[in-house]
Amino acid sequence: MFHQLLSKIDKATPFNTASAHCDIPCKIYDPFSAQLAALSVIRFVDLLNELSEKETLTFADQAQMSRLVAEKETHAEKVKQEIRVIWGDYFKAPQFEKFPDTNELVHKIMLAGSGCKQHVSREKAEELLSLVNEFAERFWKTKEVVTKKAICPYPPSEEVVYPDL
Amino acid sequence: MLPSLNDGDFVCAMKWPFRWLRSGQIVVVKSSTYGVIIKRLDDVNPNGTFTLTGDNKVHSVSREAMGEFTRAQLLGKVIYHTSE
Repeated sequence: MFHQLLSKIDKATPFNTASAHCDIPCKIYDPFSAQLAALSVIRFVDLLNELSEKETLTFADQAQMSRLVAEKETHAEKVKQEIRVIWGDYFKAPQFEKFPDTNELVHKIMLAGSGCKQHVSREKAEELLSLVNEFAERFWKTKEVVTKKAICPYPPSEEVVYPDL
Repeated sequence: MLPSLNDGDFVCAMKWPFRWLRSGQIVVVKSSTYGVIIKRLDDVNPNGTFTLTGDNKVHSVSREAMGEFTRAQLLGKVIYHTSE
């Protein structure tokens, strides 16, 4: 009853509020996790394509194929999750003002990620990496950090956008 | 601060008297990082500084993350609390 009374008073004349704060505002964001996951998708597609060239698959090959398919899907989903977190938690009005078509780019990444889960296609995996690189470039520009492009020094040896620190 | 405090609870906090501060009491403080927060006193040092802890150990910001507070940052000690 007293709580109800205080609620009414609070609506008329708001009291000061205090937060019990359970969520840590860490501010640590980096698109590299998404880029690494996109590179992994390409790598898994390459390994699956290598398997597909065999005339017959041994039991071990079939087990390997199952594992590669599962990992490809896991990493495509990881790309989507990592991008969603940066888009949802880091991007705010100033970043959207700088890059007004970010929502479209993020949506393209979501679709490309799903495409990589549905197919074993290097073309689709490369498209995913390309979109994630574009997102990474924008992300670093919002922080006034210069970027550079370089071929990653490990398979699948694709071009990646890195912060030039 | 679950289960002691719930979202939307009302508390009455008083700034006086300081010397009655004891660990275990709930206080309202102004943190440079987290704004105005309500937490439980952990350690009260003889020099007047103190550390805070949350009741919800799994999700609360850690004592180390909140750091040490001075009495100038103390907005009040909770003397009354009511839940819905």
